Amino acid sequence: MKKLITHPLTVIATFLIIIISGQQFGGFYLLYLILGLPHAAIHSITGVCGIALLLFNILQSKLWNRNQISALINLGGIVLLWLSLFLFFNNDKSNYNIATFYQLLPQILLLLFLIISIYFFVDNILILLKHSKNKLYKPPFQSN
Amino acid sequence: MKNILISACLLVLIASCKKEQVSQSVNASVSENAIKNEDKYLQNVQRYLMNSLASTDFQLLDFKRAIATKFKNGKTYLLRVQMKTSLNQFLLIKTDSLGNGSKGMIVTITNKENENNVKNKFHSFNGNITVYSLDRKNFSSLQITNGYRDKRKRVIGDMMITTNDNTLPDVTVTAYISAYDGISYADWYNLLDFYSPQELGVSSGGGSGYPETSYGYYSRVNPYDYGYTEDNHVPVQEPKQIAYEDPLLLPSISLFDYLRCFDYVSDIGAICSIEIFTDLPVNGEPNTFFNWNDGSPGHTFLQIKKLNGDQFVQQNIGFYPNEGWKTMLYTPVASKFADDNGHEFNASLKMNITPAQLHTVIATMENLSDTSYDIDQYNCTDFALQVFNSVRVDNPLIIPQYIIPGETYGISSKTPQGLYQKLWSMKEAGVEADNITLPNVCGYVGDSHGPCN
Repeated sequence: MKKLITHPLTVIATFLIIIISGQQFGGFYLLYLILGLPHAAIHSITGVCGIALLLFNILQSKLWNRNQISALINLGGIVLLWLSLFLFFNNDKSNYNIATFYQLLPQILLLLFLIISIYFFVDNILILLKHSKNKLYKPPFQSN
Repeated sequence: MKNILISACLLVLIASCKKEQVSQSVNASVSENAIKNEDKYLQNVQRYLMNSLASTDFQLLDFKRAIATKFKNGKTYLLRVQMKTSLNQFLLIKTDSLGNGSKGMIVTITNKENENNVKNKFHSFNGNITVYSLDRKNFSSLQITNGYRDKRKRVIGDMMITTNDNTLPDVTVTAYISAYDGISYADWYNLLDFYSPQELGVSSGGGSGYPETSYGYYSRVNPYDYGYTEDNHVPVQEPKQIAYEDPLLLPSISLFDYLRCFDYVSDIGAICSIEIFTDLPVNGEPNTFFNWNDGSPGHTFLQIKKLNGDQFVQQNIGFYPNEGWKTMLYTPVASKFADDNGHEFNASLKMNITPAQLHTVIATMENLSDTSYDIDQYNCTDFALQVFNSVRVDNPLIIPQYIIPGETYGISSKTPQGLYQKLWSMKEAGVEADNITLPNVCGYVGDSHGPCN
């Protein structure tokens, strides 16, 4: 279960299926990324970069095998995904998509992404700490 | 894992099958229920008031104009008794089912507006509401400006009124009413604020808590709809429930309530007009179908006006899907109407019409009120054009159509930019040029009158 939740593909999937609900138009966030990309919309660029980082890490994971670099790339990827969503809603000065935060299904999907992405973020932070020389970090299980 | 997946699927199913939310509900019902043992009830009330009021005030009470609002299934009543001196002065007491009073106040409403304006014009309340204790030793005064309570100017004597600050959100006058009988919506809105919903046994609805979520119970606008009370008979009314929505969420309006306002302005000698507005997704870019930053496809809406002497009604009405995300499948979804007051626009075409044509417009809108919204086949532009063309049968406004992004069947749609391009070309060609407005960047429409009951 943990492996599934902390997999970058799960994070990407939950990110892309976030539903945006506008006053007259709505759809999966994937659509907004695709539509904005040819016009260099900032949320599209950050979102696609975040996805690219996470996918790149999956392809390279056999080489790096969950080491510090891998964790750092994952963290960079997830921060970019968060930034993409933040920029999308922050640039929406007319609150055109505010209903996303009030309607049940968009709320659930947004919450799902946030939970999974936070879990993923924390997991990668723990990996970083584990491999660092930080003495404050104590592994959760120590076998004698 | 399997259980989690099943639960998640179930949750999604429940969410997608959720009933359409009624965004603004105003439920009022008048109960024919009489108070049990009315004689005894009135005797107890009179005894309580005799002990609490100064004898001069007691003499002024008109028990024939008393009306009770029922709470807690009849365990608690708010009884309003008119004073003979003025229609704007009355007494409000809280009693149990037997008429034993526990709390009361004398209310005086002072309207700052000109009396003629108040009686003849739809207005929001401007004035003072002064509440005295029953012995008139203490008082509290509220100033109301344009239907909003001015908290800072609230003057409170040493009266022990439990304000609790269970204060309602500042008064939002959703209905502008003509106060023919001297009592308006805003008046009542503020008055019952003095009685906390908790003590009236009023629970908030929809899982939302009072006061944060703007649920409240209020009395009828005109408590004397019933006429004079018979001897020893106190009419009982159910409280009126009003649910509010965040204006950012574009609350749906009752189209019929909005259109009814035009009935209050006489047809004889009336000047009427209909104006179609288009708001481009991106200002200054008439060829852009979509605002790539926020996903807005633009908007088309209507403004209808009726003027007769000093009576004037203006409504800005737009057609929307009830929930925007449901349009993603490009299939018909439940629709709603919203008040587009203050909405941005990039072009408009105005047409003066006769009162008879205005009735045609109203009838067309009412006939279309149940129509589903379809982003590619029946959107806001389709609606606005259909209504607009209902009074341009010989010369309908026909706009270029485009295939919108995401449309896979090649269906051409009417869009705000199509309307903009048509109006721009008409202006260039000098066709109805005087009636076409093309602001430099964008303009904003005025306020709407609001609903009429």
